[in-house]
Amino acid sequence: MRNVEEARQPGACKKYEARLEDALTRGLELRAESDRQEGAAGSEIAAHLAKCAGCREALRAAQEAQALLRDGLEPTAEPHPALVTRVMAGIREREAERRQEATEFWGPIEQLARRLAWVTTLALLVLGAYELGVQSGRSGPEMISTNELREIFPDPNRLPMDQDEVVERLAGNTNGR
Amino acid sequence: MGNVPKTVSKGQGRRETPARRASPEEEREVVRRAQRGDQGAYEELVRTHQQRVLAVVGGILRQREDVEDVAQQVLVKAYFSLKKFDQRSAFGTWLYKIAVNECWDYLRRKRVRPLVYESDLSEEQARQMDRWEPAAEFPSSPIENALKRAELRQLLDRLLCHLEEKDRLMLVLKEAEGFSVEEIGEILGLNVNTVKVRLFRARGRLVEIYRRRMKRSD
Repeated sequence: MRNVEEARQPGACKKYEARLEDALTRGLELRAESDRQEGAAGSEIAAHLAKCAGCREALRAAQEAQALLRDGLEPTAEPHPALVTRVMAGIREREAERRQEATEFWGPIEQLARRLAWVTTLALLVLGAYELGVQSGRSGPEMISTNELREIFPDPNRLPMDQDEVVERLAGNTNGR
Repeated sequence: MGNVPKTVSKGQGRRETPARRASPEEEREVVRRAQRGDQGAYEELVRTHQQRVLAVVGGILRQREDVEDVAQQVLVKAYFSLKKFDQRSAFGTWLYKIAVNECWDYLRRKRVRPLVYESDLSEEQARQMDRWEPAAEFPSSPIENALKRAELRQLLDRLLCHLEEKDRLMLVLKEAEGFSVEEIGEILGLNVNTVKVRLFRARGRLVEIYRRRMKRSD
């Protein structure tokens, strides 16, 4: 009597797809002899393959594809001996470009910064000179000569009592001038 | 097409792993040196990985003259991104991912991916396909053999265009360039089981297209 799985076609059972790929990679043949050599996993696949037409057909198709691919595809050719040299030259070229780009980017900024530094220095000098000029032109606190002091405080034995008295006397002296 | 060969033919083009490769720790040290700007160290990395970068690029761009140019672009680009590489994955994996992205960007920019439908195949091409037999049954003349192979390659490339980009790349990397499913998974950011399932289904689709084509040309 045909197993229920026998009717399952087309396509492999999802559960076995990865294992069938393994079997294909190892070159598993559909014969029980080689399956026994694959161990328990191989035996399980063999048992399944024996009753599942879908998986058998899928494995056959995969083998056909494998043969087609191996006959038709060729690996990419060996790299050209100069590839390494070209890669290293490419790296050096890119590095030079990057340095150039950095110069192009920072160059104008550096120039601007230099100019700004000069202008700032100049401005500081001008401001300093102006400040000096103003200060030299400004009258300082009025100095009182010793004679004037003697006039304000005629009695050297009687010193003012406090600051207020000093201010009053100075004010009186100024007003009287 | 003839029957399925009893034994699966060994892929003539499958690439062997290079005889001597630096250990992962040695390679990490070389990468660290390159990250510090040592161009000699980077040159060493290029020498180690150029073949596989070329394989990945060739796997995506198939038969394009600019495979080496794009590979060169990838290797230059990787140098300038090297400081961002945190060594959490192998250098090769990181590099091949850059290669995959660069190729897809390249194809997007150039819009060169030819979407070929079965109806695009000429009658002559369909006849050529019908004539294809597995390698064991190729005529003995080397010239004839080479011609058949060239025709088959051309047709296969067109058939592969029916598949989704990632599936096509997986098949090419697996069957022509000798990558393992683990490596393919890392490059494409897929888990190993997904790669196996997709590979298996892609093979099925490829044969389905092939058989449909044959039926129509009968």
